[in-house]
Amino acid sequence: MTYGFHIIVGFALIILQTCFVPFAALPGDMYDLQLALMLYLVLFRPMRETIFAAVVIGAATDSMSSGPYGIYSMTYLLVLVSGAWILRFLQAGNRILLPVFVAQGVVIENLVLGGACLLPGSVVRPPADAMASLGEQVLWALLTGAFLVRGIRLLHRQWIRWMDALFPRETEREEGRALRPTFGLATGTGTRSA
Amino acid sequence: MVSKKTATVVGIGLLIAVNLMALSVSASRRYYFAGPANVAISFTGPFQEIAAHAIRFASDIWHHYFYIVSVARTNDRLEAALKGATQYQNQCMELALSNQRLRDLLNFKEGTPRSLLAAEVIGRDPSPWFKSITINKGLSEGIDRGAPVVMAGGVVGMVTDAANHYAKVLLIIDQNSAVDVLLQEERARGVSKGASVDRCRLDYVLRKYDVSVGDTVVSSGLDGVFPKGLRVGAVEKVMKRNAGVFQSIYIKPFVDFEKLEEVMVMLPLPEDLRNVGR
Repeated sequence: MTYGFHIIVGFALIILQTCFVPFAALPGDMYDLQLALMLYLVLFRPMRETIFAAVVIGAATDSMSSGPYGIYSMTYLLVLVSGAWILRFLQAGNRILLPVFVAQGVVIENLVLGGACLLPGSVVRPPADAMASLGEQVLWALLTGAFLVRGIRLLHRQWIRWMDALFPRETEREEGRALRPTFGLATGTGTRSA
Repeated sequence: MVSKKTATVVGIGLLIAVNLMALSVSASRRYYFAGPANVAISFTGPFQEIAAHAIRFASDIWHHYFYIVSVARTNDRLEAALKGATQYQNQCMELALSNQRLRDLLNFKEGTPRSLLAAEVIGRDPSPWFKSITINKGLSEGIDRGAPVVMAGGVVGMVTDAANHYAKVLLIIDQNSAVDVLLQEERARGVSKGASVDRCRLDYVLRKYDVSVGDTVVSSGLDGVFPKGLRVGAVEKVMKRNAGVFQSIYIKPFVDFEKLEEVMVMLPLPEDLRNVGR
């Protein structure tokens, strides 16, 4: 059930990103909203759920983009690794560090996009305003990233409650996991904030 | 025994390695991943279509009811413009007829007109690095990869992926897009490439040509994708450096890509379809 939640939220974020964000005509370039889901999973959910979401949502986002196939899957996997590594040293889930945590995800994504241009035989070229775009994305991530991560977390809690009402036995285990999550690679080092 | 942590690390490492290989192949555009791309587009497409219709509905309410005060003024302006346009159309018809007569005299072969299919824009590229749109028509409507996409204003882009009822269109403002073009006045050839959100760069125009700001750029038809004579944009900036064979030109496309809602897809000619079948 919890995997279903990740897929639903992932696809909802894709639709938000591809339909609503362009219409809103926000100043500057918006960052990839899927990163908020990935970082929520890195922070609060077990590693296997994060890997699953990175592969499925990455493949879906790849197919919605005109960039080279695999760029988003790669980004999400690297965000997962970097997130788990950061959690070994910092409690990134707190209010102060969470926006920075989302912003580092945005930087990693742009580095992967830039790296795709440097691959042997690559025909992908970066846009002329790549650096300005990165700056705008980081700013948006700092301003809204933490709210989005916390929003997904609240939604997931609500989802668990709904599932608990519908399928009591299965979601008892889910809820147990939600209350005591692991940090995947960072076993025994990080502790979750609230 | 391998610990759970080691297995996870190895698993992630393998996934990254496989992904890197897939990425390096697709970045060189040697291989086209049609299968997974089409599944995801087909799955997300209906939801995007619903979202696009909801946005359009809300936007229509805003523009049709709340902006009604300005409609009368717009109507007056449009009526005046229509009078001018009718007169201009008559002149154009005269020119077209005389052009036809002259072509007949010279035995020019007439280009086969291609049928157009209207499609709605239902989504945009998730990344600010790439410029593409998703439309609500696909393979089942006769659209295939490589089909040119246009608007009344000018060239929009080219279909790069097509699922059953949806297709992805690479816009001409994408940095990976290129259109073979002609400067309408000078008849100088060049290649238009995407530069930024609302601009294209015109490459390979020789220094000897006297290009001015405002000159119209049209498709040359030599790239095998866009038919000859489609309007692309107007010259916005010309820079002639002291050294170099070519001049640096920027063009502003006629199409407003920020407000793109409907597009027209040029369907393949019957002879092209026969070639595809071979």
